[in-house]
Amino acid sequence: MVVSLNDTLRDRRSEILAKWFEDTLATYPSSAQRIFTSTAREFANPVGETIKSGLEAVFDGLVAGDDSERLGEAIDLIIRMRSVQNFTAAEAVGFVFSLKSAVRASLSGEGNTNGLQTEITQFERRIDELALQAFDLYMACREQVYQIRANETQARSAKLFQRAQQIIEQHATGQKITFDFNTPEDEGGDRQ
Amino acid sequence: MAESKPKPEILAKVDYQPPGDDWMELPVEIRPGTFNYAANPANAKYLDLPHVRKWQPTDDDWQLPENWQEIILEGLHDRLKKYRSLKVFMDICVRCGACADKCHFFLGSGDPKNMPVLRAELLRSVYRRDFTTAGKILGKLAGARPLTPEIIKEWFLYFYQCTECRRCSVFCPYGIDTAEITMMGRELLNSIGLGIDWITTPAANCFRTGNHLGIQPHGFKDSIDFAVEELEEITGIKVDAPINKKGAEILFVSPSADYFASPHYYTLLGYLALFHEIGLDYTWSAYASEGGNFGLFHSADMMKRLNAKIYAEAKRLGVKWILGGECGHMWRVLHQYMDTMNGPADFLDQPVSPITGTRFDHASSTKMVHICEFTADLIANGKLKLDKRRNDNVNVTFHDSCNPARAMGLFDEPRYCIEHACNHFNEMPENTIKEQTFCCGSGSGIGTDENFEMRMRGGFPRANAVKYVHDKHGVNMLACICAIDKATLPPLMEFWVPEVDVCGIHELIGNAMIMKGEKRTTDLRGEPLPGMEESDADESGEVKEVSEDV
Ligand code: SF4
Ligand code: SF4
Repeated sequence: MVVSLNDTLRDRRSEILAKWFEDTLATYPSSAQRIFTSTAREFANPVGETIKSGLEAVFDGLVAGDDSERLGEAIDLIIRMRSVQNFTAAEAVGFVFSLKSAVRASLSGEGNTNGLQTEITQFERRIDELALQAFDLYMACREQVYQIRANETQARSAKLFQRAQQIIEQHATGQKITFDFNTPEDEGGDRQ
Repeated sequence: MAESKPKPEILAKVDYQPPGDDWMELPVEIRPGTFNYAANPANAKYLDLPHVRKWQPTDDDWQLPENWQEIILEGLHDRLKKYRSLKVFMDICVRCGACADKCHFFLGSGDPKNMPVLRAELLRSVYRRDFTTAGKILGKLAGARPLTPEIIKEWFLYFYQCTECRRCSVFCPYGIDTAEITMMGRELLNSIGLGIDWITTPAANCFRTGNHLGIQPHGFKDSIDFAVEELEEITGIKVDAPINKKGAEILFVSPSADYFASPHYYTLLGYLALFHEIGLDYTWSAYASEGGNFGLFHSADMMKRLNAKIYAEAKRLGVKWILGGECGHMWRVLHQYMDTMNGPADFLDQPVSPITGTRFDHASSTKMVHICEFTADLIANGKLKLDKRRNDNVNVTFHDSCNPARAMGLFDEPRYCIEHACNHFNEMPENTIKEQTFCCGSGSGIGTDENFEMRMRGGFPRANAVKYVHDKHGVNMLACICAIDKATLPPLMEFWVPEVDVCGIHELIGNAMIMKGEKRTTDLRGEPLPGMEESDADESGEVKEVSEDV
């Protein structure tokens, strides 16, 4: 009987996911791994839960042949999270590749996988593509961080900026300026 | 303790194992995005702080004063004598680990030194070595460490990676409050000139002009007048907002961000509308123009110094009692420390609502009432006309800010206000709200730009729960009653759950409230007000059809 790779992957889903989860968690300090692996309620263990449910969604998407948009949605939160954790770019997205070894480890007990070689190569190529996509997402998250930081600075004194603008306009139109705007530069104190 | 010898069976139970991971050996990493800049020397000097110098955490040499070890050890000795709680906290932790996975910084980062038990251990290990017999003899085996410059760097990083939120203390069977240990750690750091700018500069500004941004009285007046004008544009009603009015019945104090930051400002418009509508005899103070107190994040002495203006202004203006706006740490100071530090406020009256006659007995000693308590009482007594439909564009969830929640137990009044002002309200999961609320990740003076990544990590558990109610119930508005939250939750949401915006409770009240003679088609942000678009108000501005929640 000819079994397709996808069928095999579906059969081995929990085993492969367990290995992939373990390898991904291994990127965190060991005392954290223990807690992130715990079955604590979802909201008490957000990193563990995000990784767990994210990997499941990505794996199912890959097996189902989802397009890159859907795969991107599935992986977004994990990447977003790792983009602000203690990782370099390569470390942040590297876990995607661990799926390859998880799949291979699972298939190695399979005896003869010769017939599946082409499919395995194709599947691994999709993992590579996903890793590149993850890298793009990582970069987008980093850019977003800088953008948000810029907006935040503005919002923190939003009303003062608006008032300052009004004063400049009053000045330009020759109106009497009603307010001597305070700039505590002399104190070096320009922060909230 | 030294006098009575422990029994052998107790000794047999003593766990000599240091915590896992050999955390003491982990190097300190000053990584961009996860630390705060050093205090601006000019502002540190302004506050007469010791050992002022120009330095940054990224420098190799932090230029510690020559006798820094002596200063730290003496400082620790003094504090152990002064605060019995500190001595108890140093001695009784059994390393049960119940707190380990309760800190949002640990949960978001996985860094073991962000486990509350290890955060406290940073100080405890030094305490053990220099203040306990076991530590003096057994050294590292008893979890003791000598005081080195590396340890000071570690303190600086991790005592400024704790928001003093006290979530961990809720779960500790002994009630050990790591926030207090952090406070002591910060006091000691400050004693050798290692303060951060985001705390020192607002504190200096506050000391000089009364508020964090250093706005002077005429600037304060201009800001309030500006808000009055904007409110008139929105509602057609010109409200009175008295400043420094002697003999007013009530002094109103709110965080300064309410009048210069967004979205705080819409809450300010809400207060102004509310006070007008009920005809409150109140006043602002141009000097007590800040409820926030960054002294709390610096030292007990600084907190006391900055807090003094509130009673002083209440006395000078001759008010009967004080009403306080939407702020988090401000309420920790007012509720837990003000009376002891700067009281007794025996020149003030027992607070009584002039509108409903309700006596606020819980405020008998401080003489200061939270605006959510005040407004909930107005609603309960049918004094406000609220049209919930006007908030139909928002689906609200409520973030319990750490301080009003864990330091005051203020759970019901904000929810009561929301439920009477909005049709759509959905709670986040129960292990993320009320006393178990997750911190915004930016409190206690570490909500800085340079610390942004750490804030995103620490805020992740909170954002994760918001995401859940957004996905499940379509929540699009995160209400809160804290100025730091209003500043730091919007970027947190933008990163994790961009569909969710942030507002204050009195913004929701201000939107729902039907004001006599109003003429409005927009909400306080200038967006269309549901059910009140142009066609719903006739020429005279009268509201044609409203369902009143009275
Ligand atoms: S819960 Fe309390 S006793 Fe247990 S490790 Fe934490 S601080 Fe120590
Ligand atoms: S007080 Fe809050 S931030 Fe500090 S250790 Fe405890 S849970 Fe963490």
